[in-house]
Amino acid sequence: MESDVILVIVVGTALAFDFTNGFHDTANVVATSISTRAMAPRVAVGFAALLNFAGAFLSLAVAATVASGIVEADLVTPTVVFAGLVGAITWNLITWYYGLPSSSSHALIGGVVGAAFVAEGADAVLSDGLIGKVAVPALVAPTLAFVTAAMAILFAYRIVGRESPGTVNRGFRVGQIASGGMLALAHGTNDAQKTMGVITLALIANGTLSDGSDPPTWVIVSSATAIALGTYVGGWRIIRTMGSRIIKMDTAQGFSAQGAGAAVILAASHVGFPLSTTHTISGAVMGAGAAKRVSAVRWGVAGNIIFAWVLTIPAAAAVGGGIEAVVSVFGDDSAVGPIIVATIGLGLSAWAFARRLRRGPTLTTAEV
Amino acid sequence: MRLPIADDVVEWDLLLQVIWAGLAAGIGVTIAMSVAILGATRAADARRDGDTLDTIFYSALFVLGLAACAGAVVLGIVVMTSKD
Repeated sequence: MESDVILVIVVGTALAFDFTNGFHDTANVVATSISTRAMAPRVAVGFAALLNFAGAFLSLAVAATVASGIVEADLVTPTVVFAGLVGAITWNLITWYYGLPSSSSHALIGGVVGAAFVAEGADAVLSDGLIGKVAVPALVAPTLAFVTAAMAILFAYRIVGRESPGTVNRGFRVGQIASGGMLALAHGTNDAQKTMGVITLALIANGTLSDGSDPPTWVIVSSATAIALGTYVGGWRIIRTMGSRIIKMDTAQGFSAQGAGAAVILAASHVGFPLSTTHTISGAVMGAGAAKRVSAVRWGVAGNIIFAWVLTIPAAAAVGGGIEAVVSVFGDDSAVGPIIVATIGLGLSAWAFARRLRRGPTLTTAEV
Repeated sequence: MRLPIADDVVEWDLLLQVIWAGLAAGIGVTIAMSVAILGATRAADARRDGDTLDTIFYSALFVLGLAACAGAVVLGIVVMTSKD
C-alpha cells in the first residue's frame, strides 16, 4: 500500500517535471519563429504545444535509454526516482527564474544519478551509459547543430543572395512554419520520452513492470499531455533570451537554425540519445549567426548559457542527492518523506511562479 | 586516432549515424528551400518579362525545391516511426 502511495507521488512528480520541461524548454523551439516574426508568439506557442503532443508518440528509443541505460534499475527504488525528479525540477525552476535556458534533460539525468549515487553508491550508476549516451552526445549535438546551421545558411545566402530581400524573407518566413513545426515535433519526441523513461523506471523499481519493458500507453499519453500543456502555458523569459538576446536573426537564419536543430534532434532520438533541445537549438542559433558575422552573436549571453549547461548535471545531482538523503531519513519504503518534500516543493513552486508572474509581463512580438 | 577506452563506452556507429543524418538533413532542407525560393522569385520575374522558357524552368525549380522539403519532412517522420 505504502509503495503504491510513493509510486503515485513519483508519477505525479514526473508529470510535473514534464510540465516544467515544456514550460522551460519548448519556448526555445518557437523563439526563432517569433524573433523573425514568422509567427505571432501565442500562435507559435499553441502550434508548438500541438506538435509536442504529436511528437511524443513517434518513438520509444530515448525512453528505453532513460529507463535502463543510465542507472541500475534493479538497485533503484521509487523513492530514489522521486528524489531525482525533485532535483531536476528544482534546478529547472532556478534557471527559469533567472531566465537561463539550461537543459531539462540533463537536469533530469543529473537528478536521478545523484539520488541513485547517494542511495546505493557508485554501483547504481551505469557510468558507461552516462558517458556514452549522455555526456558525449551532449558535446556532439550542439557542435553538430552549430556546424550544420552555419553551413546551411552559407549555402542559402549563396543561392538566394542576389534575389530581392523582401521575396526571400517572405519565402523563408513561410518555410519557418514547417521548420518550426519539425523542431517542436523533435522536441516532443525526445523530451516527452525522458519522462516516459523515468516513470517506466519507477514502475520497474516498484515491481509493476519487468526490467526492459516499454512504457505503457497511459504513460505515453499522460507524458505527451503534460509536455504539451507546459509548452502552452509559458516560458516567455526564455523565449526572450533565445530569440533576440543571443542574436538578431533574419528569416533565412531562423529557417536554417530550426532545420539544423530539428535534424540533429530527430536523428539522435532515432538512435535513443536523450539530447537536450536547448543545447541543440542554441548551437544552431549561434551557428546561423556566426556564419553571417561572428560579432552578431552576443557571446556574453552565450557564455551565460554555456555556464548554465556545465553546471546543470552536477547541480541537479547535488540537489537530487540531498533530497534522497532527506527522504531516506524516513525509511526507503515510507511515503512520509516524499509527501513532506512534495508538499514543500509545491509551496515553493507556487511562490516562485507568483513572484515571477508579478515581476515579468508576458512577451509580445514587439519586445522580441 | 582511436581511444580504446572510449571505444568500449561510446557507440561510434550510432554517433556517426547522427552526425551524417543531421548534416545531410539540416543542410539539405535549407538548400531545397533556398532553391524553391529562387525558383519562385525568378519565375515571377520571367513571367513579367514574358519569357516562357525561363518561366517553365524556374517554376519547375520551385516545385522541385518544395517537393524536396516536403519529402524530407515525410522521410523524417517515417524514419522516426519505424523500428530498427
